[in-house]
Amino acid sequence: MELNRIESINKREAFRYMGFKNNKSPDKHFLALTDECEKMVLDSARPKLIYKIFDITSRCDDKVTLKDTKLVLVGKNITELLKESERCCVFAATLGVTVDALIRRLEISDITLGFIADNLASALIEQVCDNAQDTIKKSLDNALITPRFSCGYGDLPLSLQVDFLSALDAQNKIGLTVTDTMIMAPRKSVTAVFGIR
Amino acid sequence: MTLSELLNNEFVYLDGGLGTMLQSLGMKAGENPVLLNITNEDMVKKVISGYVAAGSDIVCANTFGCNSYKLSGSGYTPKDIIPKAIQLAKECAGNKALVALDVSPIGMLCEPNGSMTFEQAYQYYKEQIVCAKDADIIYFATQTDLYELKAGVLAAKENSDKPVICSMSFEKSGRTFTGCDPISMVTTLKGLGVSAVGLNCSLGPSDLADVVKEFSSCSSLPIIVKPNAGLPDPVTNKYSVSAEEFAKQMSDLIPFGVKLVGGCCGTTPEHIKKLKECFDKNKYCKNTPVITSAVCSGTKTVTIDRPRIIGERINPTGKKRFKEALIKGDIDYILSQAIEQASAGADILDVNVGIPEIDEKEMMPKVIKAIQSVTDLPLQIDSSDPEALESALRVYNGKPIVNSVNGEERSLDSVLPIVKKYGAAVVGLTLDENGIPKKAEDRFDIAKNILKRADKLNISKENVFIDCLTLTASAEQEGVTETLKALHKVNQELGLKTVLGVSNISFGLPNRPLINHTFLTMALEMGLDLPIINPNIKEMTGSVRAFNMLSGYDKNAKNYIAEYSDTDTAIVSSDTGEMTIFKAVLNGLKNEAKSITENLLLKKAPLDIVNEDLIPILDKAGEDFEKGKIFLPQLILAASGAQACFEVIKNALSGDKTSVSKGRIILATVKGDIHDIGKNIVKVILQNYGYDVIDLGKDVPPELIAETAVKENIRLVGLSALMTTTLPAMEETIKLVKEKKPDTVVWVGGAVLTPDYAEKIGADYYTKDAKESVDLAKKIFSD
Repeated sequence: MELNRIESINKREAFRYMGFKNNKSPDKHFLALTDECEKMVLDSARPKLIYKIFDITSRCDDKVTLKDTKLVLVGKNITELLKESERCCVFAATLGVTVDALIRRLEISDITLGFIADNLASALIEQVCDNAQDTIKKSLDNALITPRFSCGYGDLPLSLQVDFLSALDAQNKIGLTVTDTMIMAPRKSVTAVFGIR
Repeated sequence: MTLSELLNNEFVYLDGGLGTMLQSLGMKAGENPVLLNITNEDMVKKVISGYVAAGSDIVCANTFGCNSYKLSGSGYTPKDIIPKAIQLAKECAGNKALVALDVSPIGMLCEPNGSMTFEQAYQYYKEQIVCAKDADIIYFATQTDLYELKAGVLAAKENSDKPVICSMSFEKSGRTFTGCDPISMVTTLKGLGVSAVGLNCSLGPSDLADVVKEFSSCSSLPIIVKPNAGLPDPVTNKYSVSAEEFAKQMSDLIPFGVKLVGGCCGTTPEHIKKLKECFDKNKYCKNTPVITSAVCSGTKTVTIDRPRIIGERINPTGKKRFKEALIKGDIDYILSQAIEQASAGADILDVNVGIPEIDEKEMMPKVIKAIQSVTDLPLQIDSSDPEALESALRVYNGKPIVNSVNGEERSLDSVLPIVKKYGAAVVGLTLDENGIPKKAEDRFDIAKNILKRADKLNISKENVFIDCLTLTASAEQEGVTETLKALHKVNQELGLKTVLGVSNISFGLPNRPLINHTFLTMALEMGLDLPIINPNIKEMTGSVRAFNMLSGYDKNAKNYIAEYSDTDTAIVSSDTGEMTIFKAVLNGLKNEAKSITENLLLKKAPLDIVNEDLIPILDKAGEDFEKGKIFLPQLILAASGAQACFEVIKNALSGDKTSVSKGRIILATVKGDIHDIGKNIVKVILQNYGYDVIDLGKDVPPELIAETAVKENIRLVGLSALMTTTLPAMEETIKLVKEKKPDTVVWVGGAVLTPDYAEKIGADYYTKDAKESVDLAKKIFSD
């Protein structure tokens, strides 16, 4: 599904990614550059989301199995996270290839702008995920949900990325793919799972 | 029965959803359905037979996703499955329906968005096509990237004689996920000889009505419409549009010229049955779009329905700095020329890389790929070498212009067939064995002959553009009017679009811009469609914009006003004190940094500016960064300020024997890794310090890094990786470099690395940031 446009990016978060430390904020000149990049990133982003809700069928030996899918969630962390959930939501979100193209172009014309746009886009995809979780929660009559958890966090293997995407048919539904080295393309994308209590 | 016979019917009925039907019979989400051809053929046959019974004229074999990438780990190859899948479908179809090889996207994104190269995509497709000798049709479906689709169509055309049909998956916005629109799809695929184009999957019929309308306005090929039964519910997975409703929504699309109709995800034999019942009562509305000359990239089409600007700057002729960049493989410099022209208002970019020192056939595709990764403008491939033209045409994403063919037999024979094969447009120069005729009439005759020869190969008229050739006014003053007369005649009597390189006119005269500008206006008035100019010169681009407004092409002066009403909103530093190189660099003020450097060059040698001004400033920034007084963003800002100074210095030095180079370094992001911003930051900062960086890019195979180190005799190699999954490739690269050239120093960096790990995989050094990388380079090259 296509998502509503986000009006502003969480810049405090983006500054943290960029390497500003101790809450020190950048000077006026840098802020102006950031505003310029923010506009470009928001204009080029095409946020999209796909999600499915699965019944949890079993939880044992650090494995969570789900109904009607090949996807099996592996690891102590995810088993712990989902221990009180009967269902879970698997989702994938992306800003689309247009943001990658913008960053590529900016890196050539001005590396500073490329760097700022790259970090703003990282902050934006996190915001998209926050909003997605809110929207899904509302569609479930405000059920209690756990925080989201992604492949590569803790002991949930990165290689599960492939199964996440195929369970969601993410390539056909939102254009999201993964390389054989488990890097997502488009780059500014997230897959995750959260429990529904 | 064949596809072309079927196309004589009012409508051609395709099948409905295969994957969703298999899921309803028990296949799990995420399973690859093609394995069922082996493990459960009854289930597959049940679904396909259902569609044959419902009245489908063409059914797809269960081959969607049957490529060796998606099959990896399954123990099967396309060869094990495809012939079997086609046989199963044939058994169901009998003599009632044709069977199509259903070809999905490979599953990885193609370059530049992903790591799969065009050539790899071609191989994945070829592997499937050669297994499909028994299929009647090759059907590329649910495609999202025109580039990947072009690889597929080429693979089909070069390895099979079956008709090819294609549909892409569009969003409501009228774009695919990678940004392709219907007109770019049609413009590109028509030239490649496909039999039908259209859309499938994504949404329900009524949501796709606008996209179908777009196809109808631009496609003279039969249109395929094969949508979903609406959207699935995330909880129940049920699709929302019933069979009756689907048939009704589809029949609303008949006036837009739909010809091949069916369904995708969520549709069932019942949907196809109802669809057929409904359509059988109707007649096909043939589409008659207006044919305009058009060229495109993978995401943008430029119609030549008014004068359009071709940017001339990507060309080494007479440009020392450009030649140097080509010889050194400094692709970034070429890319910056592309971006600059695009933002100045070019509609199309001419690309010429012909110099004796380089292999054009090898360089052309490299440069084309790089340029199309940073701009969406269509390109004009400019070379006199047919082999270089073909290598570029192959990897070009979209429909380009070939520059050029001329009236010589040798040229007509070698260039026109490849123009036809790749579906390009072509510029015909009005010269032949006897040179450039003096008289307009003789140039016109050559144009006529070029058109005749193109026509013989079925290259249609709208794809032939004629260049009547600008001569220098100072040498042949009377030649000016002959050129314009010829142009006018070609335009009026042959009805062909015209091209003209404008800047030659003023060679050898004072105040060249004035002459160029005036000649451009004269030529536009005579009917010039495609001026080749330097778009960075405001007056030239402005003339074309003003001409388009005054001639009524630019309705309500919309574009003109949009370009010129804006006040300059450039960011100005709040600091009002006197600008120094110190301030300009530290604040990344590129324009100021540039002009101060230009002034400094009047009184100081270039190398002295580097050593006495730039490097001390960068050292100060580096020191502040180490102490935590400034952070990474400010260090990068200073780097881009210094980069602007360096560009001025390099220009001053180009052709000169003195070199700013303090040492040569290879940088690369290792195989499998496509993150490269970190590496690029390190590159800019190293360049600022005067190091010559050979940037091999991202996802670089170990062999290329080792070979380059040997060939270029490189002492220092920097490798970057951002993912734990790509560290093995880093280790492998280090091993190979050390084996081939043991005296090379290899250093590594990237988010997942630690000093300990760097040592473990055999690296000589680890650096945590760009500053440490510079310190390391200083150390290595001072020894």
